[in-house]
Amino acid sequence: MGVDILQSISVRDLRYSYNGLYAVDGINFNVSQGEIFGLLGPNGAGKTTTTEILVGLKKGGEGEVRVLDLDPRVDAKDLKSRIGAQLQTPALFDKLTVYELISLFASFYPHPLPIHEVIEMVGLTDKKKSLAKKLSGGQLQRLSVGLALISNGEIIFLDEPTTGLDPQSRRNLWDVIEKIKSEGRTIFLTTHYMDEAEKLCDRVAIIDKGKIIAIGTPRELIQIHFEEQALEFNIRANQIDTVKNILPPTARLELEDERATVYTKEVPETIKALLSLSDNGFELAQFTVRSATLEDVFLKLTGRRIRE
Amino acid sequence: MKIFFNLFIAHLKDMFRDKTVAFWFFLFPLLFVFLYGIIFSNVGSNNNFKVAIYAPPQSSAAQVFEHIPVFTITHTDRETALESVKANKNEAAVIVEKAENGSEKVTVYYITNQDSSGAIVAGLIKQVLTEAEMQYSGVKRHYEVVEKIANDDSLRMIDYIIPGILAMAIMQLGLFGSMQFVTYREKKITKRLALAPISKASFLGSEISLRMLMSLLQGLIILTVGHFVFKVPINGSLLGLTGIILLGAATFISLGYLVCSFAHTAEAAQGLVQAVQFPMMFLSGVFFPTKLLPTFIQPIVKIMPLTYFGDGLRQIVLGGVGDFSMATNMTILSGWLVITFILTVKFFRWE
Repeated sequence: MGVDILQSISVRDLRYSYNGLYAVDGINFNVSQGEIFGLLGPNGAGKTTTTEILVGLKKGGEGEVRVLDLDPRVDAKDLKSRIGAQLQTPALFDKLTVYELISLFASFYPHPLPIHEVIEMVGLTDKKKSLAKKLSGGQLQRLSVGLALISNGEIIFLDEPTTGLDPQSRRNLWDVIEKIKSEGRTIFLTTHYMDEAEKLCDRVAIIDKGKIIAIGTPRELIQIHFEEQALEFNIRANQIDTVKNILPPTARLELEDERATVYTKEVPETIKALLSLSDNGFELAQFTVRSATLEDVFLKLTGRRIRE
Repeated sequence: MKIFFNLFIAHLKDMFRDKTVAFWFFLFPLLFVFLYGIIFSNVGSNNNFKVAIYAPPQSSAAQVFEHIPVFTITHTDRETALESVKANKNEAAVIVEKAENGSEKVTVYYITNQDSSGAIVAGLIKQVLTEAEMQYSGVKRHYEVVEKIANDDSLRMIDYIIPGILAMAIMQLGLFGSMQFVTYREKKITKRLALAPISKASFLGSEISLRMLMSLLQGLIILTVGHFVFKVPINGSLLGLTGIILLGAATFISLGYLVCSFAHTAEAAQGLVQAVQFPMMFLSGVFFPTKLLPTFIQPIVKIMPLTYFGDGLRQIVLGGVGDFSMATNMTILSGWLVITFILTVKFFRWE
């Protein structure tokens, strides 16, 4: 394949259409062995289609796809026994217990992990005798990740594993994913949460409307697209022009509802200018200074916020 | 094989932990068995009549009645006897009066309703007294009447109905059972399983095997209860019974998957299945012979698979003759199986 390091996944010019509309429109990326790779984008960006092609669920499409040196559209059966995967909707046999489901799935694979180890890893030990239908959303998602893990697969595919979960459950699941990573397993993850991608992923590809618009480590992406820092504060509509007038020419103002974000390389000058306003009764309520995030990168590249 | 077995067990648990499944597929048909059993097990073989008698002492007629074995007699006064008949507590009231010439006048009171017991009692009394009269007067006999039942395997209603209920239960298992798959498909469980290195054949195979096994279990339960509780004769061989139950189950499972191929949601499937099973339940001779249905319905009766499954099952269970030849039953049932199977393969959707 002409690549130096061992590639777990490599995708070249992949296109996939539904009734002539390209859901995936010519994407390229590689995933190296042992890394957590994140496909980040809004709903409908093409994340699920891409994942379903990689795991051998969707046939067809154009371009070259190699997963563990197999073409998932041709050697799906061989590939499936070497990967573990989880789907967005964690539906299962309702009336089986956690233990029964994990041991059922264990029997599908040639070299499964020990059942108790997996239950322990996803933190469901005290729930192992509960029926699947009695689990909370977060527990169900962890079970679903457990069913992907039991395969002992060389790559674990997680499609939006934390969607719809409360913050506590999300953090629990992040711990699980970091545990998987610490074992040196390759993880392919899709998400529309920027913080999730930033926290978990070694490298991220930002996908929008079927195209990859940026790829790199979260740090790289932020540095390439933002030498600036972000200043945030509350603002009222009648104050917008006043603020615009006093900002240094290199600073940019973005508004969302009553919250203003000023991106600037000249942080001290900008703060000084804003403080001068506060002498005239402008409050600068909830003023914060932060580095740019992937959210800012997405906004800059697409002109939209990711969750719309 | 290991995967097939594990999936089978998974289906089994998923199904039987749902209490409604046990109800619909096992208790519901049994309920029918008991309901019909209690209503019909005595029809055609009622051989006990309660009779209230008011007679003067030394009535010779009253002594004759004592010797009728099918009578359960209470002696009482005239008013009570008449009241008890009107209140349906006794089948007939018999009032014996001494006439002036020394003969006895016997009046039988009964009420007319769907049940002809009262008329039977009156007939019996007439016959017995005429016989007594002839013996008493020593008249030479010119005629002798002997009664014999022509079909020695005389069927009671319950004998007819129990194989019908079994056929209905197996049909419902096949049709409603397939809705489980629609649920699995709707909730994307089939899609989740497609991520694992297992074949679709082992998934469907385990589901179908479970249904086939359940149909045999239904057969075992319903026929056992029918035989031991309601004395339904079971004359068919075990092999023949197993064979026709499996053929019928396969046909209705196949029909079920076909119907469900056209439903996107479990609710839609429910509606479709009802539309298919409801006419069959009532027009296929499950609860009453199809001969009783009007002529214009007969063509519908003659295309429905349950008609032939019920008839075939009844013939094998009871060992008698049915509405159709066994060859016709098996041919049409197999035809349904083959055609629905081909159509199911064509229209079946995994996701």
